[in-house]
Amino acid sequence: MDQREPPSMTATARAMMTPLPAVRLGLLMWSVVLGVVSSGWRLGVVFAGTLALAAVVQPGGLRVLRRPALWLSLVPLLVLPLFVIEPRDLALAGGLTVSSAGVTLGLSMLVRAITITVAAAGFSTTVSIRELADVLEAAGLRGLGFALGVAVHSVQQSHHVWTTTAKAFRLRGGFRTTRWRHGRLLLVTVVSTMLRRADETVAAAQARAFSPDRIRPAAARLSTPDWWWIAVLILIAMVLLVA
Amino acid sequence: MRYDVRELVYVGVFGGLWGAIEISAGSALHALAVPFTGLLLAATGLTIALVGRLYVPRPGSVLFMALATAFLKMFSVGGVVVTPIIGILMEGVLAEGGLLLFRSSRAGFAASGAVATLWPLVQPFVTQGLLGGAGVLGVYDGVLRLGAKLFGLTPASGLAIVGLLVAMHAAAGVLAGIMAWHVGTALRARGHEWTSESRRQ
Repeated sequence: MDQREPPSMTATARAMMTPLPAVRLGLLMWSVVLGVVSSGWRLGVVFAGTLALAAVVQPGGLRVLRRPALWLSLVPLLVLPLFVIEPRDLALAGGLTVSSAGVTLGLSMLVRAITITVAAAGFSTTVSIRELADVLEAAGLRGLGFALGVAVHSVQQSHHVWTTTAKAFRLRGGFRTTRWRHGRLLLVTVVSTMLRRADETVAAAQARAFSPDRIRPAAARLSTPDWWWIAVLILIAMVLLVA
Repeated sequence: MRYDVRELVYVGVFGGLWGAIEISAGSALHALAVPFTGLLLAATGLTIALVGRLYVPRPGSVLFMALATAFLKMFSVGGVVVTPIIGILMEGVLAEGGLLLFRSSRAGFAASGAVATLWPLVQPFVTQGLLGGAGVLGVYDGVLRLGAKLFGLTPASGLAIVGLLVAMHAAAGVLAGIMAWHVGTALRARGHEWTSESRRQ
């Protein structure tokens, strides 16, 4: 007997593992919204669901948990409620007392923060800015994809212009006395440089007869596995909200 | 609403300028835990976005720039930070609302800046208090302690501290708005004409 999976099954499984960007945006919204409105065991379900989703379809979300900086930023969420909330009814070693309600609150804040962070990191590592722009264009935000493309390209230029101009100002004795005036001059120089470059971009786009009206977002039809994702997520959300 | 090519490029460029600040200086200031980082970044970002408004004089353009900045921040190497993204978007919404009420003028820019820079003061109540579950009163307590330390008052003088914090945030916004207007005027003197309604049509 042939032990291989039928080809259609493999394709379906592959499609389940790679949902469309629009569905991934839905996954992000699911985790964020339910993570925010849920508490107690419901929050636990959303947390587990988000981790499972990250493990299955967006592993980049779990990689963020390896960053020490993330854990460092989460420590106050867990620790502060222990000492801020009254009454401090739990005695620890060394005569230290903490609040038992603070433990519950700190843990739920921690779980909520991890849920949102994992979901957002999973989304940003699996969906490119181009794909997201396509989703937004398809949602009616015409031209946003093109503007985002320009923004991505200009952010490096902007950074370079900011640093070189600020350095030039400092070398000429800027910012020592009249900070407001020099700050304004710095901004004028930076924006002026970027506007000149923007005009070059406009000229190049117009030379290619580019028009925002002709932008056609990449066709993205939801497949059966995408509908499965949507159905499962809606079902879980309804169960959580009603139960 | 349809933007032409020039307007879309300007939205991208001003979004990129704001994004560069958020990604580089923003990440550094947050990492160093400098007090009032949010206010500093909001004032700088809004100055840029309001200058951008002079070149894309359409309702919604500041929000569009904020959207571009938020996406740049979301996909930046520094990792996903949800709260700055909420902050950028809300500042865009508030500045846009301010411009809708007060129009594009020096006073309008100052008022819009003042409205939008109040967000960094409100944000902890939303992100920590409501989203994080810390409770609004817990955050209020933290804000009072910070304000008391800054102004040399006792946390008991709650209303005075809140008033001073609001005034400080609004003043930063007013300065950002006036700075944007001055920068725009200087740019026009350098030959970068503002986009007028007649030129756009």
